[in-house]
Amino acid sequence: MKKQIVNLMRTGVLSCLLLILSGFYEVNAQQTITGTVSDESSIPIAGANVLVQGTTTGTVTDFDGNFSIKASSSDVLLVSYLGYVTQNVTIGNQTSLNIILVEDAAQLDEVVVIGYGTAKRSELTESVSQVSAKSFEQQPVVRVEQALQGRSAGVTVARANGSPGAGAKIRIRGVNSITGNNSPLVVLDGFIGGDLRTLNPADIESFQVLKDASATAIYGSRGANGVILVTTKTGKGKPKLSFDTFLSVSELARTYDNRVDAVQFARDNPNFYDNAYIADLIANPVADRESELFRTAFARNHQLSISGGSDNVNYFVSGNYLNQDGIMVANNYERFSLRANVETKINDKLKIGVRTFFNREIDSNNPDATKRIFGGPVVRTLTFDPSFRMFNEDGSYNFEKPLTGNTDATYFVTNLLRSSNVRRANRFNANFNLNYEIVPNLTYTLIAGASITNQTTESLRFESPDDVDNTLARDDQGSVNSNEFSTYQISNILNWNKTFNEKHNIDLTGVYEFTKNENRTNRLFRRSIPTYLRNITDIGRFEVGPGEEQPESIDGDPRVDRRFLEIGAGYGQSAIVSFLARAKYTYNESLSLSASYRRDETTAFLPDNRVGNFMSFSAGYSFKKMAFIENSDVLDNLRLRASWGETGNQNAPRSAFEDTFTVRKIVTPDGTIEIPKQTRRGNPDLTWETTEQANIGLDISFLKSRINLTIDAYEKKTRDLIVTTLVDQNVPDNVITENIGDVKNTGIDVVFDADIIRSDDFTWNTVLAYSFLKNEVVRISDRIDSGFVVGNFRDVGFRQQLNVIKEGEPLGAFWGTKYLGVDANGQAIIDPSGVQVIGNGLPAHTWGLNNTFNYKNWDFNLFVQGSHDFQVYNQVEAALAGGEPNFRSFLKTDKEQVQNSGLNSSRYVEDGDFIRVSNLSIGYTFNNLKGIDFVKVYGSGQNLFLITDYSGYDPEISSSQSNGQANNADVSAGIDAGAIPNPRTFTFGAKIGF
Amino acid sequence: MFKIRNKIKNIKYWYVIALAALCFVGCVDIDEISDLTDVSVQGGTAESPFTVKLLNDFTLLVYSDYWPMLFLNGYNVPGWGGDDITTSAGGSKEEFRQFDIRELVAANPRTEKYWRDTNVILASAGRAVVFAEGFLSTVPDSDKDVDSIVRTNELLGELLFLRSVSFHQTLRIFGKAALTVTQETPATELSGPEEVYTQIEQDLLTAIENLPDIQEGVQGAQRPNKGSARALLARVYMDWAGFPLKDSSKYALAAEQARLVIENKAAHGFDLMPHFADLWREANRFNEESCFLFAFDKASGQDNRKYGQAGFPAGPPFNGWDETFAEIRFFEDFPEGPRKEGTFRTEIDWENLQTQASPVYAKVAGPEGDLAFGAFSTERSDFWIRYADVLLMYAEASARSGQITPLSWESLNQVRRRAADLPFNTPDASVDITSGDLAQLAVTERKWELAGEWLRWFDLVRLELVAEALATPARTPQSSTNSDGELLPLHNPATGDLSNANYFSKIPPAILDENPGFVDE
Repeated sequence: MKKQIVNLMRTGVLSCLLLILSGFYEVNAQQTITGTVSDESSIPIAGANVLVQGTTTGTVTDFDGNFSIKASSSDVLLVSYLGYVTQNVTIGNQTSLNIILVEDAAQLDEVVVIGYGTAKRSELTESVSQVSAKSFEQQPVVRVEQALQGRSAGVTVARANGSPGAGAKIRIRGVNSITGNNSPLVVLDGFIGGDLRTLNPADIESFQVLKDASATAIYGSRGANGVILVTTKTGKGKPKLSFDTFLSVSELARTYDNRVDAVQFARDNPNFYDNAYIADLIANPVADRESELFRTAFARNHQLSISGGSDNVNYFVSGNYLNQDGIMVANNYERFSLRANVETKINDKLKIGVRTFFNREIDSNNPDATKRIFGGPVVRTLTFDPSFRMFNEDGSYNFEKPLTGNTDATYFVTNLLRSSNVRRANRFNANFNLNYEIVPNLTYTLIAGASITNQTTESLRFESPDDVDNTLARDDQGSVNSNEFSTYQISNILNWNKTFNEKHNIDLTGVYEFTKNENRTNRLFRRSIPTYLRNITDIGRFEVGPGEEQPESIDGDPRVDRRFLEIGAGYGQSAIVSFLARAKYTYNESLSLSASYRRDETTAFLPDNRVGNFMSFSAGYSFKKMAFIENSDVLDNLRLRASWGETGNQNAPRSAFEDTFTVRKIVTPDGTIEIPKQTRRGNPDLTWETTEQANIGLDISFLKSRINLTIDAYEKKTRDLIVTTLVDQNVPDNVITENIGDVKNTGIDVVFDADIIRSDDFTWNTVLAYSFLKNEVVRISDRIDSGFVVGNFRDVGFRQQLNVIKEGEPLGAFWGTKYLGVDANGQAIIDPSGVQVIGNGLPAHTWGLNNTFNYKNWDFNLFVQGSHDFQVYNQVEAALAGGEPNFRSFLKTDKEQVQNSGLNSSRYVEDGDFIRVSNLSIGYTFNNLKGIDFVKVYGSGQNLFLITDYSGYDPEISSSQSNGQANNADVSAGIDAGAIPNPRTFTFGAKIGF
Repeated sequence: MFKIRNKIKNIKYWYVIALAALCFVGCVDIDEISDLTDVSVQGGTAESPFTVKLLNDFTLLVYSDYWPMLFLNGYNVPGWGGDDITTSAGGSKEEFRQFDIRELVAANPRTEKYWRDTNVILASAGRAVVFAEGFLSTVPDSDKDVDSIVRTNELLGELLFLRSVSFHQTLRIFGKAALTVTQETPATELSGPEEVYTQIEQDLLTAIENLPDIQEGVQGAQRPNKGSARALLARVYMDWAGFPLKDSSKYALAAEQARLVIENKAAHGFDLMPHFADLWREANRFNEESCFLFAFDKASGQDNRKYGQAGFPAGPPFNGWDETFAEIRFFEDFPEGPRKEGTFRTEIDWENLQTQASPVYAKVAGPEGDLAFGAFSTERSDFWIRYADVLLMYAEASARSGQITPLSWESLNQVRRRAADLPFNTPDASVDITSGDLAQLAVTERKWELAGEWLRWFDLVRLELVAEALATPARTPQSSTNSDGELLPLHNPATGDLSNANYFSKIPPAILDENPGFVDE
């Protein structure tokens, strides 16, 4: 099969190249009348159609918008161009025409990309929200996810942490899977399975977010979490060259206040520190822990793109370079990307296009790559002895052990600076598409795509003191991990679309699609690193020499075996074969009906359970043809929509089907031997999670679409939830993965878009996106008497679990003890009813308000976001104030020293409500400069203000835990275990258009 | 121009057809791709066909399930309640301090972890027991060879022994236990001491019957033999005879089991080590004195972290964990001699330690120069029952059951002679005792002999001596002063209830929440 695909790709690329080359032929006609076509800002339009009305004589404009055509004085020329209002020009006695086309905004917005096709917005029956480049291109966006944030109702975007290479968590209409992935499916120019992080925002034409089941059901077993369709840019008209560059400065936006300082700490601990030590602290102050972990970080971004096109060929080529320092010391992210999109129209029937994308990421010292079992970087740094000096007087690192807390730990920042973790990823995407009109109304589309990613992570981690300490050397380790992921996809799409009697439109789509994924991994791990390996560049010497076979001895002490080497390799593959069909019927642009069916056969399940059938139905009715709207000056349109459908989630753990064993090392009289121990009971009956969603929607537009309002209400029920639980609830031993449990998401999405002021000199556009969401676990395994499953996110002391999956509560509610106060002995008073639900990290209300003002050449943007009605489990505060043996605690001056409160206490649950000024920017555009179309200079600030009662860095941050177990971030939302916060960033940039 | 166009027109059909054809031919056999059957490690399950090898594997897995419970202080945390052990008075050792000051908190993470680890052990042992019994009871004898039957019975005995270790420790911590004997029928309610003792007695009597006199090639009873099971049963009877059931008829049974161990010590390979101080050296982690021990192996990550740094104070030069200290008064009262030197790190100027002036146990921190400096990861064994303990149990039990024999006095005296670093088999009038309240003498001897081994607390409990041993001024330092001449204070004075109502830990609330049938009244 692979060979076939390779052959196909080869043939496809070849034929495509040929066709592109053959597409550059010239069009000539006899010259009698000449003219120029340009847009309202006098920019010539290349590729505009000029046709003599009632004839087949026509031409297109050249790169400078010029055309010449043979016509008589009585003829009328029809001048058209996609996205502009078609003009009729009577020739009369003119021989030279100057035609100005007016942009047809309504027409541009009308076409919406939906799965495997397009639809007119006015006829949509599905809930689809669109984010076009216009809404974010004025802002210095370096990550595609940022562009989505707060601009689409029902879509939440949360950064895993504030470091530049960190992953973002995007959720559409809540979360519905405990075990599986809740990330939406990303479809990049028709290719399923894109990675938003790697995309260059400047390449994006638009996003379409498919939210309801009638839109997502077309993606069947991968559609349950919603779908984001990404369309990249194609060029048009005269060649445009644009250059965009900016520089940004980031800093820690908020600090942890009221911490015990070095002097105070020493005074509080007279057992450890004498007066001389305190006097020295006063004379030579110790740097604050926070200032050692964080820094002011710079980033630069350069973007260059060239685009253009004629009637037959469109192209868009762009290159981007981003170099961004993290506010955590040693953290840096670098990205290079290059995109080339070319489309050619061979003739009226055949169009061919190729989109290629290359990307390279170098992600250095991502905070998530550090050991986080006992909290993230923030916890580990801030809980270190405040009087500790990081450097000795001679400038070398101080490896003296702290006197209290975890006395074996070395200082996190020291470890960070001498360790290295670098991930390099190279991605190549190629996407070939062909569109052929077989007979009128019947079109065949082929999409053949491939995506290949090679990734290598090199790591040297030093955590032991540099002095010779045999037993601690095991904390130093090095590793090299290499992965290759490849995906191939072939989609064959047949579409038949016809309008009968000008009122009945039928649109039928049939698809056959095949996707295959492969991944390969290699891993080399070495515990205890010999002294000659100290820099990441020494990784080339990462080998076991012939002389190293014997256990290394240290200081002649042969009992200590410091060496430990592991190697591993892995291979996996998966595939999905799908058929799907969709029928749409529209009557008189008023009534729309749609039905779809998809059949997926996937290797994610065993043969008996691997076929899934997914159906959806939807209907819409627009009142725009009715008299009360047609005769109204105010109301433009009123539409009602309703839909129902089913989608699946195939994210079953691959090991879930078989009994699984791990090798246990057992000390026996015959020495230490290895015996496999069962850790998982296989479940061959495991099958899809199925999400059933009903949606009703309302679209209203007023005043020639100056004001638009869309409201959707939905209920999403997921059944056969895949849950991994213990076989025996009391025994943390064997697990089993089963289809047990139901989750329900109920919500409302509202988008309000208005051009409040629209005059020649001044415009003000405002877009409000608001979502309400209620998430509830409706049912959990009958096998589990207690009705709940405790999650696996543990407190920063790595003891108690902090999250729970419990009937009647939101997914991943906070789990802990209820703190009632403190008694006379300084002991915590805890609600005797025991561990219970003490909060919830999923916001009920989220909103984003984007305001754009233009005054003459000035533009101004203000983007404000908010989330309300949720809590944050502040594990940083718990570690600082909570009395945990693994840290130096009681480090807060504003918190009473309470014994036994535990880290899993409601004492550390805080309201997370916040309002954030996400972006504030001001720009000025210089037009009509010599040889340059425009120059725009701007300055902006991101994350400038945060209004919240939360005492930590950022209530929007959720931490993940690295504990060697599969962790689903969606069942631990709102837990702040010391993630690096979103920084405050100031950006200065310029955009130049040629 | 037009010619080219026509050519393209012709070519294009070819491409379209060829491409489309290729795509449709690309139809896949999905079963060929699925690799769900690839499993990296294969192993046996309770449903696998019976083999003695597999039963042996299951038995060894129970040991590996013990490791998470044993490698850190936790299963032994009640031991801080004894008058022999204390912990850091300030700082973060509250999980231990709760026991030291008798302010027990139900949600103590150490006891909760113990409970969860125990469930894994019981499930693992339960599965293996069912596996063994299935073979013995359902396979017709004609289909079994004699060796298999003998070996299966031995392994069954070993499993019942391991399960008893767990049930007994649970009872010692909580005063009750969840008697889960098979995973198919997990305990839905908690059992009181009578029921638990009866189960342990039954299991250990079977184990005694099934286990061999000695496990071939096994050093230091790393896997139990008949004598190990008898020693454990003797300990169980001692507890049974004391608080809370106080069934004094069990003293005779304890004496009997202990006597059988002593009389058959050669067959079991048990005896005292000649020099007390040698017991705590890492190199002697396997020795004849342990009637049963849990072993550790640093190279494979199965290390023991209860020793070394855990026994040192936090301040320089040791930078220890501040976890396990000796009590000052206990140290003061400790009879001088080689045993005291072997028990404590007397060369350390502990009275002037920076963080907390408490004596350091050599038994915990390791004898001087034995463990590497700064070591917390060790290979020290956990001696579950030492032969010295068996000797003293016999002395005490025979006295309490009115069956004092010359062996009773000899048992006490062997321990005393070795404490003085004298040949323990040779009577020596300088240390031997042959008259007096033998039971009381044995209890006192246990206090010194077993100091710092987390066992003293359980003696205080079964004999209801807690109030006497812990109430002020029993623990108050009398003579230890620092370099400024100040009398050292008592660290962690007991502020909680010292009555027998406060001997046992509460069941952790999380465990009660997860088990609706459990009631901790």
